[in-house]
Amino acid sequence: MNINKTNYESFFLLYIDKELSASAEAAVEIFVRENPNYAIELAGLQKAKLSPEIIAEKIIFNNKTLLYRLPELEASLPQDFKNKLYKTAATNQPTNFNFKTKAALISIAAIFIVFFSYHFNQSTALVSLPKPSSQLDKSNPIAKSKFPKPVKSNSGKSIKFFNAQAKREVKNLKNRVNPAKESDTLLVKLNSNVPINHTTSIGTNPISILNIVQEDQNNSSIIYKSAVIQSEMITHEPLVDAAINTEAKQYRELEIDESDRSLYIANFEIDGTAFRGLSRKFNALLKRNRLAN
Amino acid sequence: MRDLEFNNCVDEHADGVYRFILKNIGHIEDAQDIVQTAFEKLWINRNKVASIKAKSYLFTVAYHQMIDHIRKEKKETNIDSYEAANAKVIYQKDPELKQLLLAAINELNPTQKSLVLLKDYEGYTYQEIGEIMNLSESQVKVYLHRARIFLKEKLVHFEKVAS
Repeated sequence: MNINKTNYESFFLLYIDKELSASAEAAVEIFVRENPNYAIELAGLQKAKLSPEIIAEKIIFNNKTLLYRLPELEASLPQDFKNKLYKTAATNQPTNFNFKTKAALISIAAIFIVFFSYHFNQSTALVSLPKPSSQLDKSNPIAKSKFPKPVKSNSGKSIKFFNAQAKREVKNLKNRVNPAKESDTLLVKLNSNVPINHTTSIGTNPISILNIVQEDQNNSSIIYKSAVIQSEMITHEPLVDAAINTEAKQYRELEIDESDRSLYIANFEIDGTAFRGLSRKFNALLKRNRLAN
Repeated sequence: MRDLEFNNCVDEHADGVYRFILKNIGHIEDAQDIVQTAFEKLWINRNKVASIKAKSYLFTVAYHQMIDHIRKEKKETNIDSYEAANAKVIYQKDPELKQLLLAAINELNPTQKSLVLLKDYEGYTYQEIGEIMNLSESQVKVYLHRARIFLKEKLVHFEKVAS
């Protein structure tokens, strides 16, 4: 190792930092001994190093307790116990609708109500049919079909519901009875001189009609010779057909007679015809859009 | 690293880390905060850091925390000018070598200051200092030698002034 006047400073710095090998240190010491002028240089660098006196100065970190990790500090509760402590707050946030949203919701609800009330009125008008008598249901198996209930006259003197239509049904009933037992079947003769007032269109059940005729025998407004009814022998089908025909006519009459189509929502009256037109247009528009999609 | 080993690290290295930081920044509370942060990080990474490397890890973390702190402080006040003014006062009051040297060290830039402190106080090798300060060994050597020559010239200058 060759230490000379050009590289001595580097060796001196490494020497004071103790970064030289033992042989290099020895070489530096020999160089300084042989060249006393450079000894001053080495002493000056050693002065620039922090002396053991300075290093011996005690600088203590006083808050070591803050740094210690104690088992007590690391203690934690078991997870099962923690799970019991957890609270989940209900997240019921109030919905803030603005004015436009409120207006849209109200208008949709109003349209919904109008639409359904209109259709509800229509459907109730069609469904409002008289119910069959419960007594007839029990006594007569024929009554299980949808026959309207017969109505008695309050006066008790004459039967007022007996109209021409009912007459035809009785005749039909007579004709449709099983021909094999025709001699034992119904024989009804009506007195043509007696005026018949029909104030109701209800009462088309032949059996019921006969019952009422029997009740009014004493008044002699209707001559009743003999009526032998063998219910077992009467087939159901003709009776049902007759009843359905009558019902259909009644439904048609109800529908035709409905002149007032106004809808009432609270105190508001809506023209039913105009609304019907609007609803049809709306439905047509919906269908068109559906087809377009 | 377990609790016991960690607490031994506190006993052995807390003073050294604190001194290193305090000599660098000169502020007790900030130095304590940095030391606390360094040990907190050691605890978090206790399973990754071997006990032998704990000291080096602590100094590394503390050094980088200190650099961040110095950068932050520089935005608020000019530290160099403040320390230079302080140093002049010290030179006039106490002309002893020890105080002169400490005042001269305060005039070094943070990197040189840290190099001197790590070398003289902790006795780290160039390689270890390079690992702590994220420098190469040759960089440590060059920077440290410049710092030494600067300190020597300062001392010579003040001795001449004093005489």
